[in-house]
Amino acid sequence: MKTNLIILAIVVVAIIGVGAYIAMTSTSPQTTQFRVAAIYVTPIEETWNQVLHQALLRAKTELGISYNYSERVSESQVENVMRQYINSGFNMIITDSWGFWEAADRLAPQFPNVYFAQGSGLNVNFGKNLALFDYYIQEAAFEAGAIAAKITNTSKLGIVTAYSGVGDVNNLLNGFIAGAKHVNPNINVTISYIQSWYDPGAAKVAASALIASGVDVIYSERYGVFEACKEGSNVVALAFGNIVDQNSLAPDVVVGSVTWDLYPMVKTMILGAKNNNFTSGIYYTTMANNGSKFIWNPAFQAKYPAVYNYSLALEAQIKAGNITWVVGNATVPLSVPKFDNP
Amino acid sequence: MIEMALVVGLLAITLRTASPLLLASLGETIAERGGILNLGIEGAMLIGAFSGFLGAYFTGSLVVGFITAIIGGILTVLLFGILVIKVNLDQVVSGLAINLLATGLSLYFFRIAFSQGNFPYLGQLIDPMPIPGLSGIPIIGDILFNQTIFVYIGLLSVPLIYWILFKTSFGLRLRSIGEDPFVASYLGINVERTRFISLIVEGIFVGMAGGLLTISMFNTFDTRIVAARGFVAVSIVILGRWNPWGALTGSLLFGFTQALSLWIGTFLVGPAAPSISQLLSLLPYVVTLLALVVGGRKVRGPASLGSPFAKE
Repeated sequence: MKTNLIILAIVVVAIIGVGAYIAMTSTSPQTTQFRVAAIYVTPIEETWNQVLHQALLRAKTELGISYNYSERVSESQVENVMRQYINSGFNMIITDSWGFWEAADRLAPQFPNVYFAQGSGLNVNFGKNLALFDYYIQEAAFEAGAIAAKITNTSKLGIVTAYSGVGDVNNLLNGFIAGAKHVNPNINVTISYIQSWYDPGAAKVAASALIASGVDVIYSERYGVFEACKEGSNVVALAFGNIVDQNSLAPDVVVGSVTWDLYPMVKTMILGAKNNNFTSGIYYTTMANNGSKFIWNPAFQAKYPAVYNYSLALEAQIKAGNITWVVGNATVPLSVPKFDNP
Repeated sequence: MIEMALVVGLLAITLRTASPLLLASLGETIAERGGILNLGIEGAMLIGAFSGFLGAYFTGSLVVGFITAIIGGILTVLLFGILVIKVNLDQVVSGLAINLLATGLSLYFFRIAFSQGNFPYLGQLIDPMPIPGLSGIPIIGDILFNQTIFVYIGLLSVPLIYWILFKTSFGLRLRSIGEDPFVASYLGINVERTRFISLIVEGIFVGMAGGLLTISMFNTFDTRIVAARGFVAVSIVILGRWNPWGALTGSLLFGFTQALSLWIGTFLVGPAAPSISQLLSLLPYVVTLLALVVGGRKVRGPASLGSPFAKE
């Protein structure tokens, strides 16, 4: 009993000491600076997080904001972390995980002077201060699908992805398939689900299976496909990267990457908030606003000049809103996402 | 009509998918035969994967990566060994603590080694090495003799470990410790030393199992790379009844159903395919449970498994 009390006393004193040290040494920020906090559910190395992290680092240098972040915050902790940031005077809270959407929906009306941006979710309480964004990069996926259909020799394309029935992932798959069918309506696209968000070993097996069945171009929605596309030094299939520019990961395999750039959106949000004309609601990252981009691997751009030129023309068509698809019962531009199963 | 090439490909991939499970479950079989339940195997694989990647990345040599993976595996399992053998902590709690520690440590050192936003990867991987002569045999050559070094080591280790466990005096000593360390100690067997040796061997296998994920299967490191393969290996040991041949059977079963669940999409088209694929990935766990229910009454593991041993 006595030992327990002594240990308890030591722990309490240590906690108070550390707390006091932090309170004394932390500098209060300049009041003029716009303060943004991002909250991530996984380590920032994760690709989704990298997209926002890089955008905010750029905003820090180009827009002069201050940027803090918390990573590996679980759904059960997120509200406390958000409140901590709000209480210490942050102007904008970006919660970057599907599981955080309810907390954002709940807190936004309670703190009308703070701006909230939620990465994917079912938010409805947009009010004047809540924005919703997601990786709406189906336009770039469409371009990749069209390029794939142009360069395949077998007319068989493959996709390696995580789970079936995930709306925002479906949107990318739908984009890729629609792009392929735009070039060749009879093309065959096989989807392989690896039942995991991150398992390159499984993705590699899935890609090998696709290649064995005659597929020669694969959209690598998940990591692990590129390694299956080479047998020793022989390239047996080509691939497309996803979310971030993965062209350098396997330069002789990756034709190009379907990428997401959040800087234009982050800039719009921050400038809007600073000038008191923040727009709430859904933010679409489109080719027209540079949020959705297809990035060619220079080696393949040089190898397929005709396809490259075709892709530029296609981009112009997409940006002009001339490429449409059917979502629900309506024919809409490709910039509107399509969440149903492919 | 399913093409022959697809089936051959599926079977070859089965071996490749099974190889990390086989190596890890062989290592765990040895440890558990000596009465040590190492649930920290998931973390030891992660450290193996991380140290293998670091070694290969900074030296540019996959051989170095192979060696550093093994060293990482040994050190992690030895740390676990010190906790449960020297300090006599609870094996289950220590194993889980090792897993948490491994995730934290690997991410910490990953950030020290690589600047953020920089995505490090290896330019080359340990590829399949066809065995001259044998790899040319139709069908069997492609399945068995055109594999990575990890598959060969795993397959050859099965009879070797069986021999060590059941035909050598070391194996007899280890198994008697697993049954009752007090009696074994009373008979003059050095329990601590024998258990440490078994853990070093486990570390070698688990380090390889982790390393192959980052230097053969995939070319970069992420803290999620092991994807519960360590825990699967523990259940394979139970399914395989603490026998290397059983570990091979269990690994092949898991490897095959996993490979099949990933290949099903190429055979099967339609709205049911994703659900069937999900069902298949569950199958080995169902088989493990069934095997325990059906055969579990007759089979029991080493009697002292998981219980601490402190000399009076």
